[in-house]
Amino acid sequence: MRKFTAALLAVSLVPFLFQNAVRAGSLEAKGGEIVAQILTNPAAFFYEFQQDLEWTTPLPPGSWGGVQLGIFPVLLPMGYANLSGKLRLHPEGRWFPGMPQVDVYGGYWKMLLADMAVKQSDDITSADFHGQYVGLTLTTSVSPKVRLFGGWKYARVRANLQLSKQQDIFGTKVDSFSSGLEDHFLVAGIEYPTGLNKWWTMQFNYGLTQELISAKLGWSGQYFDLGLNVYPEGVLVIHPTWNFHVYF
Amino acid sequence: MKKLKSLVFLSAFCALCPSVPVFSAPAENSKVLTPYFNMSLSEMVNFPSQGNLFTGGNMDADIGLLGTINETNSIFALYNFRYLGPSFYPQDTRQFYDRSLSHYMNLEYRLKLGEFRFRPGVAMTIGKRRTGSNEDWDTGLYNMNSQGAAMAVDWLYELGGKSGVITAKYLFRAVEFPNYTDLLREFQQAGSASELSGGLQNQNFGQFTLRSNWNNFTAGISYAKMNYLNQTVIDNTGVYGDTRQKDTDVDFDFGFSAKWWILEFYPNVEYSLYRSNQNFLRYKYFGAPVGNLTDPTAPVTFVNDDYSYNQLALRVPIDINLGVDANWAVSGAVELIRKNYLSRPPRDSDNNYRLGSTQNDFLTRFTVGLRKHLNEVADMRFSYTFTVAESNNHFEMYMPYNYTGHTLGLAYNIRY
Repeated sequence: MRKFTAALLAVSLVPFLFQNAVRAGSLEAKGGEIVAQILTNPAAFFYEFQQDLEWTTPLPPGSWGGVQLGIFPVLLPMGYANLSGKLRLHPEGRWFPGMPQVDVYGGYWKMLLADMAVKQSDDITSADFHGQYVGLTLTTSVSPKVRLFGGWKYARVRANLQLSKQQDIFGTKVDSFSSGLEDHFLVAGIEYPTGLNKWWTMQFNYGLTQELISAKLGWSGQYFDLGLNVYPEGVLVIHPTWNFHVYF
Repeated sequence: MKKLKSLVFLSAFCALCPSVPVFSAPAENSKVLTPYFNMSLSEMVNFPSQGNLFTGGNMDADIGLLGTINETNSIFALYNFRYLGPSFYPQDTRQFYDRSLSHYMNLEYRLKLGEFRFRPGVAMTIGKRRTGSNEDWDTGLYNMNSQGAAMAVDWLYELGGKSGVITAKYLFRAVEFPNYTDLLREFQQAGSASELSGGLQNQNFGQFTLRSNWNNFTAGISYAKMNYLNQTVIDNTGVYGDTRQKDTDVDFDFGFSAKWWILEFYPNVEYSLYRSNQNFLRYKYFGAPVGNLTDPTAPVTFVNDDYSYNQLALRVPIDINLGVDANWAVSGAVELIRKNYLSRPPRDSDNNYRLGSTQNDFLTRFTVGLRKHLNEVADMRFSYTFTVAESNNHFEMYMPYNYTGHTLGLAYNIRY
């Protein structure tokens, strides 16, 4: 079933990922369009990839913590060295019946490819791309199978680039940008187990001041997560994701 | 046109109000707090016959909590987030690339006395809208905020062994459009007030609804009245007069859901009568000289009763399950929307009015797809939609009226 669903999702992604290329009539025009969109708000573009690694789902019952490494598309191909962690502060119902599970989480990433590029290229004077996030999740069981979760998240991103000389990227002149983003988010979602150590989740994240909107679908196993993240106002609307995690 | 779009935006807001799920979080005696969660997500790519293809998406999330105090008293809180992205919309409503988001918060006290339930409540809406992804959400021309209260009374009854409910509801909203500006007023009063920011569309909105649900049948009638606080009506002299704008909207709807063997039907029909005392002054270009305002081909033409219309909407979704207990289903739907303006003449491609008829818009959507029950709480849909928009209005510089479109979509829905 999972393979079939993944195949359907992959097929469905094709028009989304390449539609603008078709519209522009050429890959070069498409590239120019994307570059222009990115340069309008560089931090927002890089934050979309940060959201791909943000671990905002609750810990499974019985686990007190966990760590996660975002693999695709954050580590590959974007070059985000990243690590996220999650810690359970309170298991559901321990303090008193009905008291939800309380998790805190956080993570950090830095684009090592940018640092390498600065060292190896004469065209780039400096580059700094990094971000972090922290949050708190409350989770409550509403049936033997269904858990609802929600909470708060704070995230920030820095995206700075300084070139030694102006470059022409798909027709757009670029010599530098310095961009930052931070916001407080409302997170809410639902979790449903599909088997032993397997969960299906759906959640939405909403940035309270920047009006950032995203929705995440996730299929989690014992060690890996497959995801489909949707950024309706983003440069790349749909991101398929693949992350690795370990629970304790 | 902007005024009409604001009316349509308000109509969408009105449509949101009665959609609060009264029975979405049924009380369980064993629970003091009963959460409610409903979220739908769709993403699509649209291929219009005119212009470039584009992607779009919708997101709708409800988060509710029912607090049961005892058998007769409870409190229900609901938060709704809704995002509507670029898509094919009925003519004279939104442009393809428009996107909007809204926050709706409702707090309702429920008192059950015998067969009756009383539900007084307060609500607040924050709505934002923009025409492109680079526009600031906070400066949208049609951004809208509202606050208000409502009182609903439910009569819970049984008929033929089936339970039903009849609901009478009145709601009031004070609606503000903080950024709305009127280009005509700014143009005509440029000497004395070069910019009139906000407030022109502010209005008091009242709506009475009577609705019945019984045995999977639903029917309702609503009457809404919009009293504008500042906006006045354009006189036939081409300038704003002293009469305040007043709009009304009467809606009738009927629908049912039925499951027979492997077939599931959800037909719904709605008929709307929208009336406005507002008129319209059409400028062909900025700075056009005012001459004979009744000349349909003149640079400036006055149109009386430009916004009143009747609209019929019919939707027939069908799911054919691939087996009695199958998780897969073939789905299809037909949607027809016909809008007839009472007085507005259609325009030719040169922006000249063609007298002797009134504008008629017709939108048809045919959808086929697959539905998959992922689990107890979630559905997934793949769909293809063919859209046909027809109108006798052929002036399409700012908004398309005649086009065809193809849409491929992927949607998820969960509900608990």
